[in-house]
Amino acid sequence: MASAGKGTRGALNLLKNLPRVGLNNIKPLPGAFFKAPRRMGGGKSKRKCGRGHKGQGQRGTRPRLGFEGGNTPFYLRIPKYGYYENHSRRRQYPPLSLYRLQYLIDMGRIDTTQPIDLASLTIGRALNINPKRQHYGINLVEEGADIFQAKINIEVQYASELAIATVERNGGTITMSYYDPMSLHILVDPIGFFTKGIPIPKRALPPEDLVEYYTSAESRGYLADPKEIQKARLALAEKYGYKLPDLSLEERFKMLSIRKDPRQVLFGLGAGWLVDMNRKTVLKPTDPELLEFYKS
Amino acid sequence: MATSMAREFPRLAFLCNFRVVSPCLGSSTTSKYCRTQNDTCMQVARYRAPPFPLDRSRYIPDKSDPKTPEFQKTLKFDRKLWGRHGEASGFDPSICWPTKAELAEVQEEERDWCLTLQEMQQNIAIRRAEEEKARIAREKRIAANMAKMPKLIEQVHEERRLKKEQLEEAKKRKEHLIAKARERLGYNVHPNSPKFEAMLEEIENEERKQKKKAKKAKQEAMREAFKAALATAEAAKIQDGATINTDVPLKAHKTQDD
Repeated sequence: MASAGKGTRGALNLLKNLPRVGLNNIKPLPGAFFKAPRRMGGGKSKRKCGRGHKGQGQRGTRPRLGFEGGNTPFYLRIPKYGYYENHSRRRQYPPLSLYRLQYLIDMGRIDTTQPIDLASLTIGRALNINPKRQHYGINLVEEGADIFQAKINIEVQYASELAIATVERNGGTITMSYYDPMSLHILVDPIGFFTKGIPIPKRALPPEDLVEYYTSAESRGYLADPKEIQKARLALAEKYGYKLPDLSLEERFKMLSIRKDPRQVLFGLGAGWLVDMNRKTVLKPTDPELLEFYKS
Repeated sequence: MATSMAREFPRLAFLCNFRVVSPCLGSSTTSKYCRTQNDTCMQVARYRAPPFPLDRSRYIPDKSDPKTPEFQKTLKFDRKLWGRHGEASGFDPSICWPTKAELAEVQEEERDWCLTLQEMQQNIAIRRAEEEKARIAREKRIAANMAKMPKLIEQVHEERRLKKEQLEEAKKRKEHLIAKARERLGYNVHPNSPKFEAMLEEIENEERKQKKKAKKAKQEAMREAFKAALATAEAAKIQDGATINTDVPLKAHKTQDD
């Protein structure tokens, strides 16, 4: 290295220029790990290749797993019960703890000066959301509620009461919003979607069994009345015993009050718009029918 | 907040990269850095987004060539080409939006399958009202039944008591009969034996005869009383203006219902 030298100056130069220590640039001292040498069978007379001697084991004719010689096997004796009925079709909301969120904010992987939604969490590698695995969004979990200390405008799909209280107590806002699987695909990988040449679709409304949740103020649903939400914020502050900070006095009030339209998938982009990644331009439709369709 | 490193290792503060906090759309972290006088500076990670896949080859299929596969001549493929290459694909961006037919199809689908928020809320309201109604009806029924409970409990106790009494009575009666039989026949008779039954019949007959006798005696007594009453009436009739003693009970003639 050009700036390498001897003594303190050399060391200081190294420190200045070497990258941050990570798992990709350290290695153990020689002799730290001992890999046991692979041993062959004891002696030349054993030539069974680990298969044993005669029988089904060596000849590879063992019956299927679970077979018990002919009597009804255990896995068929036990009667069925619908614990797992339709389990592969149920909606899943992988958890994101407040602890991890605080960690990501501290590491700078999530920008608190902008509204946080699933797209920014995916870019910051908070979670791995895969719509193909019946993931419908993120569930904000209470672990780390006692050390959480960030002012954020976050949008998740489910959060418990304590998580909501934690976020609001620290001067932030939280909203619960619904993304149908297509919108979730777009949110999780926007650039991949833009290369498909399809205009951004409208976000669908939640199904009937979720409408109540997303229209209630207690759960800060995105379809709820803002006045009711304000009342609910005060009620929650009373319940958990903290003073609700007045957001209108914040310098970031504008940022904290940014919300997506119920039909909008990405911040700053509307339904029916087309993004040209090569020229970095956005194209909007002009046909009145199309406009009407995308506005409905 | 995020300058934990600067706080913990003040001598290495110069290593922390700071970023100007400026409002911008899109919430991904950028990789631009500059020193700032702003005291709300924060450490932002060096996230290098993967480069956008610009297709250097830029293959645009020749539609007139018969060798090109069919799928490369479809509208869907053209849209994808436009998505990847933009204006360089040579297509008009308007192909990306749905055609009239496609739009009509999508609208029809929406109309058939998607309910509006108001409709969904109405359905929910109806369902909740029905549930509430059922719940109230059930609670009313339970309350009414619970109100009846003390009475029913008492009834049950009564029935049990009566039954017990009846059993005891029957037992006593039987014992009485056995004692009688023993008296009559002189030894311990078993209730199931024919002699016992014969004895029972005898007793019954005797009782019937006694009853008849008692009845006859009663009737005789009544007749006597009646005659006596008549006699006094006759005697009273002879004297005009005399009061008749009408205190004698005159009952109707009893029918034989033995």
